[in-house]
Amino acid sequence: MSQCPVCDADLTLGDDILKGELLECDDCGTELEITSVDPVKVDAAPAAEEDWGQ
Amino acid sequence: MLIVKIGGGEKLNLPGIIRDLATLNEPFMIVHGANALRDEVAKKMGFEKSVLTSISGYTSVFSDENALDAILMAYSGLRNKRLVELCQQNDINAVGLTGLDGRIVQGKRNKGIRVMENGKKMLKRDFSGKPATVNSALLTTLIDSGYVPVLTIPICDENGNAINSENDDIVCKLQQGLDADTVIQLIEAPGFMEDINDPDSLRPRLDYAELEVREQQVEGRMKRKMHALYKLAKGNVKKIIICDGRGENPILDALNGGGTWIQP
Repeated sequence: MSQCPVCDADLTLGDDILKGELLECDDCGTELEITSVDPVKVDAAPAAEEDWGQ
Repeated sequence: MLIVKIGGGEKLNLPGIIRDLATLNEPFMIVHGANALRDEVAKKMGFEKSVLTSISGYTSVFSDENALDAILMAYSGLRNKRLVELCQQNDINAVGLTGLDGRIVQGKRNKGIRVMENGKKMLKRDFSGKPATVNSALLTTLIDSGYVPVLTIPICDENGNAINSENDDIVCKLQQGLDADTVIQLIEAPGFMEDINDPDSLRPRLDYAELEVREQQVEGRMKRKMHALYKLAKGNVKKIIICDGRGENPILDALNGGGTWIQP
């Protein structure tokens, strides 16, 4: 079971999670990023003023 | 001080542009693109250009390692050195540079492109970013010594990595760093057009206030172009000239009132 890195709430993750996938913590609403799938690692997604690249 | 931004289209009259620049008596530098050449090189190398549309609707080229290799070949290699060659043939002592060299353009890597993919919200990280500072001391040393910098991407990120960046944003930082009073942008159109399909819809003059309004009215890549123009105009630049780079004398046409003059 993974925890939200911000509020420690348990996260329910599916079997089909992908590296780079973004999800929201149901408890605190923080946007989270799956940074690794094996082992599963979850970090707060970087805040960005713009959601595009170049 | 003049900054000349040469777009990356394939129809620009590069020999004519450089010939005109050789007649100027004021210091200048060149910033150039090479997007058409980049696409051609990438195709020859078997790399497919990947364009992503972010969740908010802005399009971006996904700059992975292959894309960056194509940028290094097309922008920093072929186009940059051919422009330097043209300069030398016209007695302009040019120095070809990228933002990496001497950290002339130091940027900040983007935090990723947010996209929807197969119903999932994904963060796609690539080698792209925005310019933050310019090495004005190095550029001024070159310009004061009689050299003409010919600058292109990539730029340098916080960790010394080469990253893709928008030339419009780079020009904005250069204008501030060098206190350039004039910026000429050469494109494959007569200037700012009300309707790109109507050759008679050229706007010969625009003021800075209108740029902000226009940014809200356009979409996609043009929205980002207008945003960059507005940021440039908000600095201390005296005039921005957007002019056709395909004519016989693109620079002289621009300085003699051609294209679209954007002034306060």
